[in-house]
Amino acid sequence: MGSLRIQVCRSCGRGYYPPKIRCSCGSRDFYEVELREPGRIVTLTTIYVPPIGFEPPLRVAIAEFSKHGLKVLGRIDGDYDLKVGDRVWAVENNGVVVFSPAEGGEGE
Amino acid sequence: MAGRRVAIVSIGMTRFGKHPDKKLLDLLAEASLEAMDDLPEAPVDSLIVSVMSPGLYEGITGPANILAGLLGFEDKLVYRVENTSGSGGAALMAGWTAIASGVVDSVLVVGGEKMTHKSTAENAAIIAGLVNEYERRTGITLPSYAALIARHYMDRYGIDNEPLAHVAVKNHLHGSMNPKAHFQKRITLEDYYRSRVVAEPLRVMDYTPISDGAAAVLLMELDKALSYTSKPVLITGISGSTDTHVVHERPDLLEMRAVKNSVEKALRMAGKSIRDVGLVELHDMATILEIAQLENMGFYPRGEAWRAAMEGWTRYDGELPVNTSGGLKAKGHPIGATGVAQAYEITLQLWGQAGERQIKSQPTAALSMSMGGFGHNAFTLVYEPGW
Ligand SMILES: CC(C)(COP(=O)(O)OP(=O)(O)OC[C@H]1O[C@@H](n2cnc3c(N)ncnc32)[C@H](O)[C@@H]1OP(=O)(O)O)[C@@H](O)C(=O)NCCC(=O)NCCS
Ligand SMILES: [Zn+2]
Repeated sequence: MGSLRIQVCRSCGRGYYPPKIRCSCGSRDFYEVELREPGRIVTLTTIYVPPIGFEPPLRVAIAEFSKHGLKVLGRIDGDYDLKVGDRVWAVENNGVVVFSPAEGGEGE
Repeated sequence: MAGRRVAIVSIGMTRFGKHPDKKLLDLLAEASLEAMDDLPEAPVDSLIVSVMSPGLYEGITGPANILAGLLGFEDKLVYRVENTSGSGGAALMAGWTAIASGVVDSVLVVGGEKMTHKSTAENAAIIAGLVNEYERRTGITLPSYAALIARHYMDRYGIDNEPLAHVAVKNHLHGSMNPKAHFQKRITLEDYYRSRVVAEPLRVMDYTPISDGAAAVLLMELDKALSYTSKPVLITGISGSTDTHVVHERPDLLEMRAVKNSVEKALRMAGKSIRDVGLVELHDMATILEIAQLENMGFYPRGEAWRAAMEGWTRYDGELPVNTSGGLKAKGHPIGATGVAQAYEITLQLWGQAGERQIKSQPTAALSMSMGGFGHNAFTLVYEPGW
């Protein structure tokens, strides 16, 4: 299980993570909501040449959620075998979204 | 656009590559002098300098003023323009605007970067500085964004690395015929597959290297230009466009809206269609981007540009020569220089002075696209021979 606190525009319903100051629709009226549904991995990579401050190999992915037109970039830190199309939970850990398997990994 | 027309009248460029004995200012000065020596009588009213990070690379602030001082420029309009990896395109826009508006009659636009004295990891950190703070915290870099987009493209259109390898082979072939390119050696498909994985599924041979270098073009109002040259290269269309700054906010990760919109607007301004364009320099920071950009520009339908390099269509002797300079892949990418170096290559080709890599056709229009960030902020120019 996991949940991620995201920002949603009250005017157009678009969701953001990380948050914005002004929505592309022009509104500045946002509310926050806990996203309590798994997303689906759209694309992922393993980085072997990261910037200084990061240890290779570093795995990052973009996951897509069914609500608020939301996609989020995050990291895959655990030793999971994840691929495109897999369902994942997203949680924030030290300011970074991390993904873990949403099915078959119920022991989390 | 009625009114004052703007043309490129002379060009200059250092070799791109490793210049351990030269600093940023040496490179900028070398490219500037070459452009000025090309037309010694031509007046320079303004100097616009394109550099991304002289502060982080060399601890320099105000490179435009330093260069103006070195070149003995006094009482000129001098400033720096910055748009990350698309700084060159933005500087050309600034130069074009200054002339078209009547503020000045001529502008020397010079771009450069000095990068190779820093390690690859330090470069990755400096370049990653242009992404959103949250994205940076994940460890993502521009090269790894290219990998995410490559994976997505491969999954959607059912291709493997081979089309990407062909883009690398083609651009290295072009680089091998460009005496100013960083890499002047051809590579084979085997070389591509032998190169190390940087970010799955992309390899060293998919990427632009880290380079030092500078490029310059002298822009002039057309009536004035005609008293100094019989071969002005007209800039008849120029535009810029942005996409979301946070990459994952984009509805379709393969749709590069800044590229698409800036191309559309620049063509409309020039009164041209994409079919009129017979020569292209684009921002192949990674091989997959050449493919994605050709589709977003409208040269090929979505999901089909991967065939172009494989079939030889985009080779210098093909029907749509793309990156005859070697592109970012082989010519190199001293960041602030790149957009200006694209204008350099187009001019050389339209003048028929590109030597071994000279294109076989005589296009009525050419196009260059200089992109800041990962499709964050794109500038497109449309060029036409003015003779
Ligand atoms: C691809 C990349 C990671 C390779 O860096 P690296 O693994 O540290 O490579 P090195 O610098 O150690 O070079 C090793 C050899 O490979 C060659 N090489 C390096 N990069 C190359 C490239 N992109 N293409 C072909 N050959 C390359 C070098 O010539 C070098 O040979 P040499 O020792 O004889 O000079 C690096 O070039 C890179 O980060 N490129 C992207 C830069 C970027 O993001 N620019 C901004 C984009 S907008
Ligand atoms: Zn909104």
